[in-house]
Amino acid sequence: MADATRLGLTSNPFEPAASGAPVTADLWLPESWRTRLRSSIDLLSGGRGVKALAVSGAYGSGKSYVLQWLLREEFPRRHDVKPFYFDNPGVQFYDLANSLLRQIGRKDLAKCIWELAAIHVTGYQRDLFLRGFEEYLRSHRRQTTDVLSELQTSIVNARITADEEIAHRLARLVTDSPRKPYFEYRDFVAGRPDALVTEREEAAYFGAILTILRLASGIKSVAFLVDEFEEISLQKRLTKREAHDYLATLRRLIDLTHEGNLWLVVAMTPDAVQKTNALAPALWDRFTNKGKYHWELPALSEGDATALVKHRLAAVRAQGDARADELFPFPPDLVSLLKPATFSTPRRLVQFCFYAIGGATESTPVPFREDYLKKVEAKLYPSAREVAES
Amino acid sequence: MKDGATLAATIPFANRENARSEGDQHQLEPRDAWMRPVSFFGLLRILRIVAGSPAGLRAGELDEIIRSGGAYQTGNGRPSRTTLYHCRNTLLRLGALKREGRRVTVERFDPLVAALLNEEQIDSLSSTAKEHFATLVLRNSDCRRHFFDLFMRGSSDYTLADFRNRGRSVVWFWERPSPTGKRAVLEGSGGRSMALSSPSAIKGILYGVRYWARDQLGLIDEFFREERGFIMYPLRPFGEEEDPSRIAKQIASLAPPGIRKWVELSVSDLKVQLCEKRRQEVRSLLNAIQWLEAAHAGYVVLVPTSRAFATLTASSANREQLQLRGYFQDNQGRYISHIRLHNSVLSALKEA
Repeated sequence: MADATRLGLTSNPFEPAASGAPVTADLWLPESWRTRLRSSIDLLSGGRGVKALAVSGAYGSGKSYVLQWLLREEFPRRHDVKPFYFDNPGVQFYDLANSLLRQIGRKDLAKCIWELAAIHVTGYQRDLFLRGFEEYLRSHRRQTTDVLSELQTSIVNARITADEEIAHRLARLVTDSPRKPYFEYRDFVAGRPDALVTEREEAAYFGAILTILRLASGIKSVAFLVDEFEEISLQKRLTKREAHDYLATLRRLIDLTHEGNLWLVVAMTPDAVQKTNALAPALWDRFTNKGKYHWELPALSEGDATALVKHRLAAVRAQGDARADELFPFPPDLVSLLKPATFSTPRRLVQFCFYAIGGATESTPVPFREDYLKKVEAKLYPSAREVAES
Repeated sequence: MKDGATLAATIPFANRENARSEGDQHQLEPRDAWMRPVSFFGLLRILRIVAGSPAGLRAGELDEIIRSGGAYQTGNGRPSRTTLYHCRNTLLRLGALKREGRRVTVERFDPLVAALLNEEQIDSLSSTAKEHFATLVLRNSDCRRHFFDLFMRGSSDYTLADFRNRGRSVVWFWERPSPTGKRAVLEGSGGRSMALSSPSAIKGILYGVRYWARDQLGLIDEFFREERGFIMYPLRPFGEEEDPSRIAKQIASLAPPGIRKWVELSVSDLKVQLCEKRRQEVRSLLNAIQWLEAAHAGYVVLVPTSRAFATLTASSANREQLQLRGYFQDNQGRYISHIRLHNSVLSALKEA
């Protein structure tokens, strides 16, 4: 990269991979995207029933960015919704539980259950429960079975769940914590004797977890932001059963949202939309309310593309530089110099800008000239003909 | 999983079993399923060898000439005796060869066989030779009754041209009538259907005559749709509408009217509209997409899908390959499910 001061920047504000959202910068969405997302969320907030939204688009169209925006900007702004982000969660329903509980952490979840249940303990071990979870962890010498049984009853009394088996599994999640203060994958394989999840009661189990999160954090609902839903398996080929599992997972999630305290935002490719709709049209209709809550991410317009670049540049503009609202070191007519396929896809645009800035040397004229920009574009995104010729 | 069984009912394939009554099904006797996957280019060379011996050849003599002269090649190299038996049997059943005692001779008085023998000797099967063979296949009563009739509504008296111009689609799919049983079902658009349960019936129809029609003779093409199954449809005669720019123009005509800068089209939907309905090869559509990308670089965006999702319902390596066959693969090896066209491309194509 050329001397940053020559470009009027403190660093290169674009990422080479442009995969998802930048880690540190504040997130920016085109005004039309923000309006559309907010109005969908407002509409869903006010109503009852399924709170689900499908966001579809090609790879690089901004799906992950939109989910990150919901995670980091929009849901926190609303205070009463706690969002969780799942990336490529796996085909089984409990893969989601695995991902969710790992995000919370075993100790924190066990502590939540302990504290919610402790006030309902009436009999044996009352003192132990009143001394708090940390003290329990320190003084763990007692008969686990006694604590387990007391905790199980208290979980039911705390209205976390009415199901005895789920209450037992949750109680075990707490009492086994001193011995094993972490989650491992086998904890989420239903049917194993030492599993922390219940077999054939997936929805009820998840309902209990959501209740714990709501009661413990004083929030109204939880939002699941599921990215790359179509990458449901790392295997090359899914079995028929797994193909069913994909739809079953989606259906169970939608069933959960019926309770009114779970939001579900799923990002998927256009092919995933088409196939889900083809395999289970009724499910798709329920999920998107007959297409009303399915949003196909639009291509960036010339204005949106320019605004995106300006926003990124402004964040790293050297202090005192008067060009805070400009495209410098890019020329003012940057977008008109690029092919529509380059500037209309956020990932391509960000990658292009990264390499244009990163590849500039001391001798590269600034603002960048058309021939330099075209060279960068052709190198990054050669046409099929250019590839064949090379 | 608790919902696995109930969910199966939401998948269209699973519903078909109950929807079809046994009465309208066509049954196939194992002896009628003699068709096997053979190369028609190889058959033409065998026909020429027999024609070179006016007195005819015994089976062993013919096999020896074929094997020593390398007249018939398989994927593994030299053909086995079983393969050569099936080649001979195919030519006999199609009426290109006849038996005279223990010898086989050419049916010289059949104009189609005569025309095949007059074909110029080249390294592949010419389109005319394909048409002659296609006529022989369509003329065979077993092939008609157990395969081609499914494509035709009403009368079973039709020519090659009738088949190409009036034939309708046939959908096939696998189903499990019992936990251990498995059968292939072919459903014609005229309400006719056929279930293939025995291994010989499946070999003869699915891997025999279907393979001839699709891969050898260019009579039909096939693609997959999740909600329907494998769709086979008749192809128009060779040479028509092959120009990719013409098909690209047809693609543009399917874009919904409006003022949007970009229009996204599903390749799977394009296959229905341009291949199934207009009787064009899937390959022609894929060539047209490739042409579009090259001719309008920067104004056409190819939208890939994940390989796992592309073959979501495939439960074997073969079916996975069959499903992937209908996808356009770009120069990076990605499977393309949708294409996005800039409105300037649409305007240019519509005006061209």
